Amino acid sequence: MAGLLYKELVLNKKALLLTSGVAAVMTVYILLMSATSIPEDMSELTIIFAAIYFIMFFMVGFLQTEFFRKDESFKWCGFVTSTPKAARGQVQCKYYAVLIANVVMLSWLSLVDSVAAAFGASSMSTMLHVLFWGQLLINAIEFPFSLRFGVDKGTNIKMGLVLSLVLAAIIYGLFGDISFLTSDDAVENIAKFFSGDGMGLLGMWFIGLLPWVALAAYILSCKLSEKLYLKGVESYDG
Amino acid sequence: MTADNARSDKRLELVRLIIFCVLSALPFVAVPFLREHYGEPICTGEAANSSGISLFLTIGMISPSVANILTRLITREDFKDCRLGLNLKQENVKYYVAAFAVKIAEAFAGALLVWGIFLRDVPLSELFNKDFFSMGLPTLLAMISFALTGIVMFFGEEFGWRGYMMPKLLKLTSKPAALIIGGIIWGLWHAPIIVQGHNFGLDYPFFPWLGILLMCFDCTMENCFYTLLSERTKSVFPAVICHGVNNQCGISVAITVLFSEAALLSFEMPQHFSIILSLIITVPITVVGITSFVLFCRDKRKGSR
Repeated sequence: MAGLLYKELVLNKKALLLTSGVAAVMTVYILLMSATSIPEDMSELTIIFAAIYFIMFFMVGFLQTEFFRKDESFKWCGFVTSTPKAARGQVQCKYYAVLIANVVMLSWLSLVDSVAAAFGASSMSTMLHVLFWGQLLINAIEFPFSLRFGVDKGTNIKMGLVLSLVLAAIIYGLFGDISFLTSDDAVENIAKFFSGDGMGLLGMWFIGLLPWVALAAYILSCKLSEKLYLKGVESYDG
Repeated sequence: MTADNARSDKRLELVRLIIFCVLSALPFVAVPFLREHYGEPICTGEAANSSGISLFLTIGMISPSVANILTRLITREDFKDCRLGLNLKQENVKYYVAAFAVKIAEAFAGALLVWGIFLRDVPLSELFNKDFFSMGLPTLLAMISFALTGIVMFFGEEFGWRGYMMPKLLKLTSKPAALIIGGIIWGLWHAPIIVQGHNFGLDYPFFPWLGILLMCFDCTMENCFYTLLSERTKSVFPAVICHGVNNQCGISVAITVLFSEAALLSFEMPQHFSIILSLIITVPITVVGITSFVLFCRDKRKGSR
């Protein structure tokens, strides 16, 4: 497994460097803004930081697509299936690599969030929690499709899921209560939402259950992908 | 020649362990300066709520892992046997489940002890939280899930203590001695912040010596369980989970979710309640610790030291 993970690191060096570079730039921006802003600007900053954290996790999503795309080769898949690790090891390696990438990003952003909070910004640990587990849940749905039908199809499924969430938010916006967005305290309300302040009972249930659902889905997804992998390999080129 | 080699290997391991302990404790050199800056003990009062102290404690929690890595680099030790694999084989799943279940059971056992000692006079019909399933349970689940997400901080400690210190101690001495010495080292590592009011506050009898002693005892008992988990699975992650659940879902959380607001409001907090609560939770921790101590020391499995 260590060997396969090392292979992922080496083959995806450029994507890793790009993600790290973006993360470094965003980190410097967050820390500079936290250190130099006045308390009255903190609500706007919270919203900006929330967007940045979302972008950072999106970058990890781009990275994990590369993990799968690089190995879409019939010859490589045939070779790795003949090794002691077999198809199971190859699939598990992908899942481990994605998990490690997400954990590293979560750890880094948690540290950045702590430092930003030391400078007076709102702590966004709740949002990081939701982004991390939400990403894992979406991955759990996407990866079996990526391995069976190819990365492009898998990405389309993921985009479909994300668009469904956006559509649900739009429908809520059309018919639901959005007074918190139209009031004078709209910016503060949005900032509170992202930092998890005043979370209701539904929010607590969501936060409490999300990791378990995501973990269970991720493990089941890995088991399913192990069964589908070789079928998918038959459609690869090269 | 072989005996000489064995002696020099042991000497090298001892040197590595000492370097590791020194490096782990290094961040706490900043404690007196922080005390000076805030003008009060840094783990109580307003200072404790400041983000600066939270950041300092986060760095402190990561220091054992950093010490692990630096010690290996300084002493040219390889990175084999880092215990970084999950080892999620079927026979290890029960240890991962135990990492959650035992800690939650400890917290609730402590809460029931609090009931037995302080809340006996409250009628049973008014004692328990009627909203446990609608409010208490989601709160508990949320705290456990934050323990999972905060894995980096708890990994920061466990990669050092169970990932490096305990394997070294097990090479140097017998299992019982390793468990006890490891626990004492871990407890004493907390001493600089216990003096600043961490865990037990400032106003208990024999401050800070009672707090330090209690911490050493608790850490020794906890070390027995965490070491059992990590040695049986050859992974630090069960101990990481255990540590996270212990910190996030302690006795205070169990009391809040289990008992009704009326019962808690009727409760007259005795003097030195922090240390009393810590003594109460020590009871279930000791039960688990002694059981783990016996199970680990008796382990004659192939591959176990």
